[in-house]
Amino acid sequence: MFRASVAERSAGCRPFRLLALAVLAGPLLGTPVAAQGLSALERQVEAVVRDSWGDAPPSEARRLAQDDTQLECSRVRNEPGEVLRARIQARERERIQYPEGGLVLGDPVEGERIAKDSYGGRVGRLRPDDPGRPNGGSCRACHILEPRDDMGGTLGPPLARFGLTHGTGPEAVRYVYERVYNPHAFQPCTEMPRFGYHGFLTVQQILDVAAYLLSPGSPVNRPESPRQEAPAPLRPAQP
Amino acid sequence: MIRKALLALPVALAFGVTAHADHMQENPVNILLGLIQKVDSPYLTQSEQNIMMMEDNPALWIVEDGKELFYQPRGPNNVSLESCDFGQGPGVLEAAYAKMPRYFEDTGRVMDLEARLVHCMMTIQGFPADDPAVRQRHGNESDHMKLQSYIASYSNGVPWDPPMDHPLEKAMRDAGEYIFFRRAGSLDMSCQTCHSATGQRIRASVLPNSSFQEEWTKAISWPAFRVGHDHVRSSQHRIRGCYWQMRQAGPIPGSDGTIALISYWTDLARGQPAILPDMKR
Repeated sequence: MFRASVAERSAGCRPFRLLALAVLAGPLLGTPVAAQGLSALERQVEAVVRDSWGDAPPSEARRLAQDDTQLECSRVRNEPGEVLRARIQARERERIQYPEGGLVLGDPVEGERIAKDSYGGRVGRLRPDDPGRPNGGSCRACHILEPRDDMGGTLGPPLARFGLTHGTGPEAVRYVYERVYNPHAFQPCTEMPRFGYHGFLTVQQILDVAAYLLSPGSPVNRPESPRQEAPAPLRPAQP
Repeated sequence: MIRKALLALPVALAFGVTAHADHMQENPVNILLGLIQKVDSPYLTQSEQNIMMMEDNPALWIVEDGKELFYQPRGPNNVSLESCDFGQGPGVLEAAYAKMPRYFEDTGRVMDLEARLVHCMMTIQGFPADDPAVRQRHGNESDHMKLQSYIASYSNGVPWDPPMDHPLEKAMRDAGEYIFFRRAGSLDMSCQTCHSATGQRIRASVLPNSSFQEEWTKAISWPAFRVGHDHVRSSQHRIRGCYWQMRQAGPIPGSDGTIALISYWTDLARGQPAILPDMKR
């Protein structure tokens, strides 16, 4: 049962940050508050966010807090200028950690499973994921992964035949590892999640995904050419 | 090809809705077909099957259930909801939902349809907060989905027009815009991640673009029958689902944060006709 419905809140005479919103509606809008690094608007809405997500257990509530890159990218709506780009890129590059055993391609079969698995990280009362079970990367939600993949998303670039142009050399392995670990190190304010930095995928899982993308025998690198026509009844995505 | 087939449908459907709700001038599918005729949107045309099924949208039956419930004397006070003011005066449902969320003087809050309904059920009918009629917000069998579907159906075809006269209405809209772009969580996502381009797919589903008004109006047209769920769903349910999928924590139902998001997304569709009830994948 939900602990704090809007009715219970108004019945309990808790004005629910009305004050905060009243200030927000006033002339203070946009005034920077140097002490906290947040503008008045940001501070007021952050108060609303804290209240509106207020009954999440602490382990989940912590997901609400923004880190530096999330805050900066949100502010510029993911279109950073030159200075911000450089700052984010340098900072996120510093955050990449490498496996102790070096960058060695993992298991492409396991990598395929991870790339297509969307399990993990979902919280809530109804169907929370088991934190004990490994997360999937859900790569396919945004990328077409294989030459005949009708179910891949198009938010990210298609990755079919990715390995044919990249090979399996150390540079390719390093690129895929770093790109999945922390994509902001390449493309500041990209929509792609920082899988390694957040620990959403383990270092070994990322190496497995790299093997799936790069190995010559992987379904990603099948020799067939991609389908020309879009699968009915879907409309082809615009570039 | 799909488009041509769809354009032949309105003639067949013109009188389809009369079998259900006599207050509805037009079958919601005709509103959708009007938009498809006007713009080229992969989101609007993605499911030919759903468009063909919309004539017999199961949500139309839920609307009928809601009608019965609305006029029935209920709760400890044994009165109907006919004196509930959804912003256009007590009992006036015509176009009321398309002009929500809005500021209500009697509560001093900006409220969405669900919050307003909760308020009326508690203050007019006398239901306690933990009564299933108030507490149960989701599913075809819930009073909430029946009543929300019925009330919203009076805004079918009506252009979205949430008022921005009161400072709090404007403040809630602005707060919603901020939250819409607010990236957080272990997937670094915000609403914007999936709703800022036209024609992009998450897996096989075409996503609606929040800045393409003609497709965004369908995206925010809740209540809608979700074919994959086999249930009519609400705006609040959509928000909960999005945050669940983004791997962030779930918001408190009816909280200001959720109403702010609804204020912002409704403002984005301003002027475009609502499709109520809608049918979605």
